Amino acid sequence: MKNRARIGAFVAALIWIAGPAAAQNCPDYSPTRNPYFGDLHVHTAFSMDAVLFGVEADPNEAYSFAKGNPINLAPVPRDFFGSAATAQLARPLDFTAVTDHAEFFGEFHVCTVPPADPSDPTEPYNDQFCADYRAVAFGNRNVFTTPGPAISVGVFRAFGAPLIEPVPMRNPICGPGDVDCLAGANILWQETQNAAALANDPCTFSAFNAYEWTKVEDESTLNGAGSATLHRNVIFRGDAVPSSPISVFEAPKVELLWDQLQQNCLDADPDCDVLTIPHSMNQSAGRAFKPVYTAEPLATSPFFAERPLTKEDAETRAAFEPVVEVIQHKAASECRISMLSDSGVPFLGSDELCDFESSDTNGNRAAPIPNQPLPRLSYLREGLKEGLVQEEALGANPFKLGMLASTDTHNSTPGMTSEKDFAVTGHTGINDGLLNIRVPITSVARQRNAGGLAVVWAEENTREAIFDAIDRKEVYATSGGRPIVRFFGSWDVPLNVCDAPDAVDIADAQGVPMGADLPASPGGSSGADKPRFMVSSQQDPDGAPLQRIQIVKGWLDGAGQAQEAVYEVAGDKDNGASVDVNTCQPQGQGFGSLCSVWEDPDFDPDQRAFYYSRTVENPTCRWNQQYCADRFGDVGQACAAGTPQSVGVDWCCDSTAGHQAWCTDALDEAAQQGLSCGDPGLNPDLEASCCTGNYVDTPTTIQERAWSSPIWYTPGPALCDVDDSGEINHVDTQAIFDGRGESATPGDPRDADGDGLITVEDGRLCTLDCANPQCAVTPPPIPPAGTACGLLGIEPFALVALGRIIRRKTS
Amino acid sequence: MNRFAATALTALVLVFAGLPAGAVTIGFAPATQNVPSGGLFTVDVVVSGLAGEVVSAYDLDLVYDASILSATTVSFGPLLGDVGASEVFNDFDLTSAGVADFAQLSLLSDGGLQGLQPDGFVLATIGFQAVGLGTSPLELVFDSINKVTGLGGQVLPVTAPLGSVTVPEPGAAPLCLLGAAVLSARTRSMKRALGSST
Repeated sequence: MKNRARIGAFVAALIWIAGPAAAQNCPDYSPTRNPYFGDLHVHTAFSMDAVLFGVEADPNEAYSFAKGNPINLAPVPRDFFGSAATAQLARPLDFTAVTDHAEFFGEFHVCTVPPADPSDPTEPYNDQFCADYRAVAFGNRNVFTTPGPAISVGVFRAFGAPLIEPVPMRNPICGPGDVDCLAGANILWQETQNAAALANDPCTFSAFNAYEWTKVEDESTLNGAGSATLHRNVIFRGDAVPSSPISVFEAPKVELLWDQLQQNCLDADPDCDVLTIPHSMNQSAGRAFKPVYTAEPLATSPFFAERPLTKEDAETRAAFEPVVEVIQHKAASECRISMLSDSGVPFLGSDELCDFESSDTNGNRAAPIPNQPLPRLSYLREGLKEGLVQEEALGANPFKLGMLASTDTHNSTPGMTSEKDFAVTGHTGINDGLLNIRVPITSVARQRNAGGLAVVWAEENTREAIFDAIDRKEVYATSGGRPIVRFFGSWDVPLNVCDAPDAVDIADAQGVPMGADLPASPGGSSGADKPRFMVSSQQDPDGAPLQRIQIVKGWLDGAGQAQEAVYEVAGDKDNGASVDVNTCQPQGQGFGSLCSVWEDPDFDPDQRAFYYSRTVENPTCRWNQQYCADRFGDVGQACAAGTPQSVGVDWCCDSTAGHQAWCTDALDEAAQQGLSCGDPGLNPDLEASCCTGNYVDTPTTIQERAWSSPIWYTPGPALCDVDDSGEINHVDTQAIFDGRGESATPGDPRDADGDGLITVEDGRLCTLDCANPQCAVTPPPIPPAGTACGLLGIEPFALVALGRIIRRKTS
Repeated sequence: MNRFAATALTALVLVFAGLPAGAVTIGFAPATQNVPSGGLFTVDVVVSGLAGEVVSAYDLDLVYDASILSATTVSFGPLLGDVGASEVFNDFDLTSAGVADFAQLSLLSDGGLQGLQPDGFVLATIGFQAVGLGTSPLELVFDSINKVTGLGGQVLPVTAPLGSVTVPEPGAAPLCLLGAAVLSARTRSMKRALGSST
C-alpha cells in the first residue's frame, strides 16, 4: 500500500513536472458544429417555491434525471387523477443548468436545518415564519397531511412579497446584517456547484454552475393584481464563480446585477465568465424590451429612476444578454396577435402563428382575458425591432438576442417537454401534478405548456464550447421537440445548394450561421446584391413530420419605423395535415426534411434588418388533449358517455372548463374578502373574465416548432461616406486618396466604382458627389441667438432675477 | 513655364501631331536627353491633346532604370488645383527603386477644371540624379491602379510614348564635345561660304 502510494506520488510528480497534457478534442469534435440539446432553466428542492410544491429532489437528482435516470415526483393522489409517480426522459439531454432561485437559499437553510438547540425559542428556526414554511413544505411532501392551500398561499406570499419591493429586504429571521441568511445562501450555492461539478462529464454531458435572479416589479397598471416578471438565469462558463450568488437582495435592478457580475466575476477572476438569460418576457408587462436604464439612483430615496438608454448601456446589456428563453412552461414570448402600442393603443398583428402558447395574462397574478391586448414590448419580435430602432439612434443594439428555450420545471425534471409526459407529470409538484388546477397560483391550462429545449451548435460537448456557442448566439429554440435546424446568411451561396450533398458545409463556408451578422454587401450600399438565407430542417424522429419553414424579417423602413414580414420559404402550409382530437392520431402527410435558399426580394441595402427562421411541424394533440385521449380512449365517445365529467376532468369535454374552474376558485377567494361581481373593489380582470363568462378557450392541438436565432444585417456607410458622417466631404476623399492601391473589402465605401480596388478613380467619383464645393465640410449650425454665450442659455433668466434683486433692494 | 519647357512642349505637340484626333497623350519633355554622370536634371510629365477634356485625377508610376537614374523630387503643376487653397490632393512616393509614383486628385468641379486647363500642360516635374551610365527608358505604367480620369470621373484612354535619358561614358564626353565643336565649326564655315556666295 505504502509502495503503491509512493509510485502514485512519483507518477503524479512526473506529470506535474511534464506540465499539463495538451487539451484533446472530444471524439465527436466537429468544426462545423454538432447540435446539442439541453435545458438551462431547472428548479429543484433548493428553490423555495418548489419545496412548497412538495418537491424533494435536489440538484444531484435533477442532473441524474437529465442523464436519463428515473426520478420520484412529488407525492400526489395519483390513483384518482392518473398522474405519474416517477418520470424518466426517453432521450437524455446533452447539457443542463440547475437554476434555483437564489433569493431564498439562506432563508430555506435557516428554516429547515435545525440549530444546535432546537428547543431554543429564540432561534430563527423556531420563528413562526419558519414554522409555517416547514409545515407547508414538508406537509406537501405527503399531500394527505397538507395544511391546505390557504396556508400554502400565505407562506408563498410571505416569501415572495419582498421580491416585488423596489429595494427588497430580507426577512428578520436572517439576523443582524442578514448574516445568517447570507451564510446559509453560501452553503446552498456551494452544494449547487458541487452537484454541477459531479454531473459535469466532458464530451458526454455538460453541467453548468447557475442560479436564477428572481426580480419582480410591482405593476400598478395591471389592475392592482399584477407583477412584471424580469427574471434572469445566470449561467457561468466554468468553475470560476462568485463566492456568493448575487440575488435581488444584493442587486435589486438588472443593471446592478450586471455591475456586480462584472466586479465579482469578470473583473475578479480571468477564468470567470458569465451571461444572463431573460425569460417569461410575456409576463413582463412591457418591461422586458423597454429601452430604459432602470437603476438610476435617486438622491432623496433608496429607490431608482428610469432614464433613456445610452450607447454604453446598450453595449453592456448586449454583452451580458446574448440570448433569451423564447418559450418555457409559462408560455411563449416570440410574438402575439393582440397587442398594445407603447402609448396603450390596441392593435393586431398579422402573423397568425403568433397565436401559439400565448398567455392571456399580463402578469403572474392577473386573471386571463381571452385575446386581451398586451404590451408589445413583452414580446421578442417587438424587442428585436426595438433593437433596430435603438441601434439607429444610439449606434448600439441593446436587444441583439438569439433564441433558446427551456422548461422552467420545478420538479427537478430538465428536458421533460413531451406533451404526453407533461400531461401526467406537470412541472410544479403537486401544483399541476394534480391536474385539477385548483391552487390559485396556477392559471388555467392554456397558460401552461410543456416548455422547450435549448439547442446549441457547438464543436463538442464541453461547458466551454456550449457556453461560447450561446455567447455567439449559434443556438435555436424548440417548443420541446428535437428537429435539427440550420440557418445561414450569405450573399452568394448558390440558390441550388440544397441539391448538394454537402450543402451545409457550403453554406457554412460561404456564409454566417444563426446568431451572426451578415458581412457588408459586396456591392456596397448602392449595390444590387440581395442576401440569401439557406435554411434546412430535419424532422424529430420522435416528432411529427414537418409542415413548412418560414423566415421572419424585421427591418427599419426609410422613415425609421420598424416593420415585419413573414415569408413562406419551404414546405406547404396547405398540406392538409391534421390530427384527430378524439384519438390524437395524426392525419395527412408532411416532410421528413426541408431545405431552401431564400433570397430577400424586398431587400434595401440602406435598411438595417434581422431574419430568423421558424420551422413548423404538422399538428398534434396538445398535452391536455393527449391526456384525455390517453386516459379515456376516444374522447368524443367518452364525453358523450360522461366518463371524464364523472371523474372531475370536465375540460376533456369543454375547452373552457379549465378557466371556469379557475374562476370558481378565484371568485370564492374574493368572496372570502367580501368582494363579489360588480363590486368596484373586485379585480377588474376578474370582473372582465370570470364575472362575464368570458373564458379562455384551451387549445386542443399544437403545431410544435423551432425558432432559429436571427441573423442581422447592418448597412455599412453610404458609398463614399468613409467616415459614416452622413456627408461626403474632403475627409472622405482624402481617405480614399490615401488608400490608393489597397484592396476593397466587401461593401467598402471607398470603392465607388466597385472594382475591388481603391484608386484615384474612386476618389474622383466621390469628389463629384461631395456635398459642398471643393468637398468642404459643412460647418455646424450656429446656435440660436441667446444660447451661444456659453451660459447654457440662462442669461434671460439671470437678467430677470437680477432685475428682481435690484427692484427688491431699491424698494 | 520657362522658354525651354515651352519649346519642348511645342516639340512634343508637333511630334505627336500625327496621332489620332482626340487622343490624350502623356509624355516627357524633353523626351530624350543626355545628362552627365552624377548630374541633376528634371523631366516634365506633360499631358496634351485634351481638346475640351480635362485631367481631374491621376495616379502614375514612372518606371526607369534604377542602375542609371534615381528619382529625387516631384513637384506638381498647378492646373489640377491650388494645394494651398485645398483644391487638390498631391502625393508621391519615391521609395521604390526604379519607380516614381505620383498622383493628384482635384477637388474642383469638372467645369472649374475646364476653365483652368489648356489643351496641354505639365502635370508634374520629376527630379533625377544620374547615378550610373547608359540609357534609361522612361515609361509610364497604366494598369488597374495607375490611371487618369477626366470629365465625370471617367478613365481617360491615354497614349504614352516612351522617353529616355542617356548618361554617357565619361571618356566619351570629350569626344562628344570635340564632335560637337567640329560640327559647329563646319556649320559656321558653311554659313560663311553661303553668305559670301550670295
